[in-house]
Amino acid sequence: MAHGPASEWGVDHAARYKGRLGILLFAIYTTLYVAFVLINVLAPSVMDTAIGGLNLATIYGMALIVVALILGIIYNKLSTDAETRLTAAAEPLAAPDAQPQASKEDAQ
Amino acid sequence: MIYAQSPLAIGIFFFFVIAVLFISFYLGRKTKSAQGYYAAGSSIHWAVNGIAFAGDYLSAASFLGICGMIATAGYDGFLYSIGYLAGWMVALFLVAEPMKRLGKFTFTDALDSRFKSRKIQLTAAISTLVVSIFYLIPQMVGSGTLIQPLLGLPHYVGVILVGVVVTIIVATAGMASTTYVQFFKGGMLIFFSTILVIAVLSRGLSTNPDHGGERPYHQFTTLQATEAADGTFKVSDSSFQAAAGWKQSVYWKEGFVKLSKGDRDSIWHVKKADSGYTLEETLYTAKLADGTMLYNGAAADKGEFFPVGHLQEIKMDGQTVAQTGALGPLAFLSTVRDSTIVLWGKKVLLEGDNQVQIYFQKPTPGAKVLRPGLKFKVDGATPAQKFDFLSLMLALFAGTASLPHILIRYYTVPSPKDARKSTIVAIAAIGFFYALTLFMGLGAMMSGVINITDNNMSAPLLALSFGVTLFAIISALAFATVLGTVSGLIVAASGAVAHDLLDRFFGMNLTDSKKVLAGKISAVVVGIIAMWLGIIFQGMNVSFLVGWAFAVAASANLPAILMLLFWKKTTADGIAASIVVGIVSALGLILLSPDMFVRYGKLASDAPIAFNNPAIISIPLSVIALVVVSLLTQVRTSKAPEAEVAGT
Repeated sequence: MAHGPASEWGVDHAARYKGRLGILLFAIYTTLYVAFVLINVLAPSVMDTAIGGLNLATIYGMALIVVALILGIIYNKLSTDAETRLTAAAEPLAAPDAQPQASKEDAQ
Repeated sequence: MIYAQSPLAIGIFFFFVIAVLFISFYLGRKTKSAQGYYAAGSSIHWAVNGIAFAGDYLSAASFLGICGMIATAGYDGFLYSIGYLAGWMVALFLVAEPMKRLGKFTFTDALDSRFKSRKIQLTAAISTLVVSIFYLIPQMVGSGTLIQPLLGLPHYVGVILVGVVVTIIVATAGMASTTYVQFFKGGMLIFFSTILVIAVLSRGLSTNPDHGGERPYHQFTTLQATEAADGTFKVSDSSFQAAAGWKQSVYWKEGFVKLSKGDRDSIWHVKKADSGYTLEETLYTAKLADGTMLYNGAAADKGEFFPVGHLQEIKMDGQTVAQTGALGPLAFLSTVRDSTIVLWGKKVLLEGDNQVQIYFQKPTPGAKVLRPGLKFKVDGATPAQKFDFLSLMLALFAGTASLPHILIRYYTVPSPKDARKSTIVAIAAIGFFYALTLFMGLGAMMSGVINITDNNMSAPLLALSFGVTLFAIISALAFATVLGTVSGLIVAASGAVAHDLLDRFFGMNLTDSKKVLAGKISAVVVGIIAMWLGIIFQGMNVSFLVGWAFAVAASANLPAILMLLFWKKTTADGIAASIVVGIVSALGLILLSPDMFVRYGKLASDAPIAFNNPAIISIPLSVIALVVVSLLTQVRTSKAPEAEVAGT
């Protein structure tokens, strides 16, 4: 599958922050996911609990889909803010949100 | 089962497929010659990239497999949707950005950039090859599934058609799955699936799903029977006779009886009644020793095998009705929950040398359909069954990020912010689509369209029940998706053979033209293997097959990727060991699993292990191998990791 040449990302000042944030959000989601799996394996009748006209299984399942999206949005917001903040702090003379140089070495 | 062929459907289908192929070739040519669309300033918008991501990812497995499993087993199919989507969390939060910062985007390159080890080159190439082939199987099975109701040709024709077409394309030109093509396919798939769900909700539910009178639904018969004093089996309808040895037969032991009417045999499910027995009509297939398949006692084209899928009783707001009108999504789900649906159990027997598969009715409360437990047993499950469930959920969770062709999309994203945004768009699109699959699957379950021997067809057949046009368009989109995925996989697999194995590892130092030739030959060989496997696995739910592919990918690749990114003590030997252990254990356990044994023509109970998905054993084994071997080989790699080399 050809997707074109690789793009280059410049120096990433927020790398450590994003790495830790990623792990945190991942841990949150995994906890919800593992809880879902364990309830089904250890106490499956809990999934029958009625909520409105639906059962817990349907709501929990849909929630896992929605929460994934929400966590993704949170990750993006916090990461973008961190990139702006940390880049401005590290390179105060450069414009915030600096794009990598357009003219790259032709090492590709 | 017979499907009436419609020239309109065939016409629309070919038009769509050719259009997609044409656009793909045309854009592919343009992109290649224009120095990549990545010239300064002209990058692809993150929203477009996001939908393209979704188009890349949603393969036949999602559409056909998940809907098919939901249609026959309810919520357990939805578990696949949940698991597949959850896997994106691994990709987004843990793997994507760090991998990109390594400057590499294929699995092999990323590993190679840090270690430059021949062992890794070899094992990573083999891993790509094995995972690609495993992921090819469900796509090929899916293609056979799509062709059957459309062209009325047998399953293997569809498989061979896809195999030949794709192999020719790859061997001659190479198919560039450009972003815009994937965007187009992904967008249309989601759009038409939405239309299908709206149609399902508008139709509502009915105990007699005859599509507004167009297609009468087969009314399954029930008979009464008694055992007469002289030992014969007397049926209330005397045109049915039982063979003399009915009580000793293998059928009776399992709760069935075989009757004959004229020259046709039928199998009935036996239930004890107050005076004698009640017999319920079943559907069955018989594979004779010489390979002939009989459907309900007759050849396939006699049309004695019926589509299934109906509600026994509908309760809406506490009232029993025969038919609801149009329903909103929540009302649909709660009505299903209160109603009773006729699902189908399966019993496999050996009658002499013939393998007989019997499908019998199982009225099931909607509440049970809407939670896990019908296919993957959780209530009162044995430890082995719970084990299987855990293993599956782990494989799905770990599998997404382990697929090489997912991460490769980050190659061309201009910045981390755009990478995140396109991932979010992808997650939203994919998540929305998976929510739709629940309704499509349930709709198929109750619309009298299911081919119980191959539930992969459920979604297209559901579309068919709303008209030929929708059916043809959806089949075409799904088929084009299969073509795209298959070509990408064959390219990856043949690249692994020609480039990674022959040229680099075996040091054959091929000239360019020889390299290209090697690539083409490998593409053909891989294509043939894929076709053969696609034919063997006919009838197996494609999502289930993808679950296997995910388990192999996750066992082989994920420990290596994660440890490479997060554990400083990882060594080249450790990675090579982990890949090998992952593949061997995952593959080995799959080959010994109950479902594979049924494929071999034996019974599930003959299998040495009791669970189907190997992930929960093979992934930890792979991790352990990596850790142990890395610690043992620490002394050799004592130099500090070099500063990262940019580019290339």
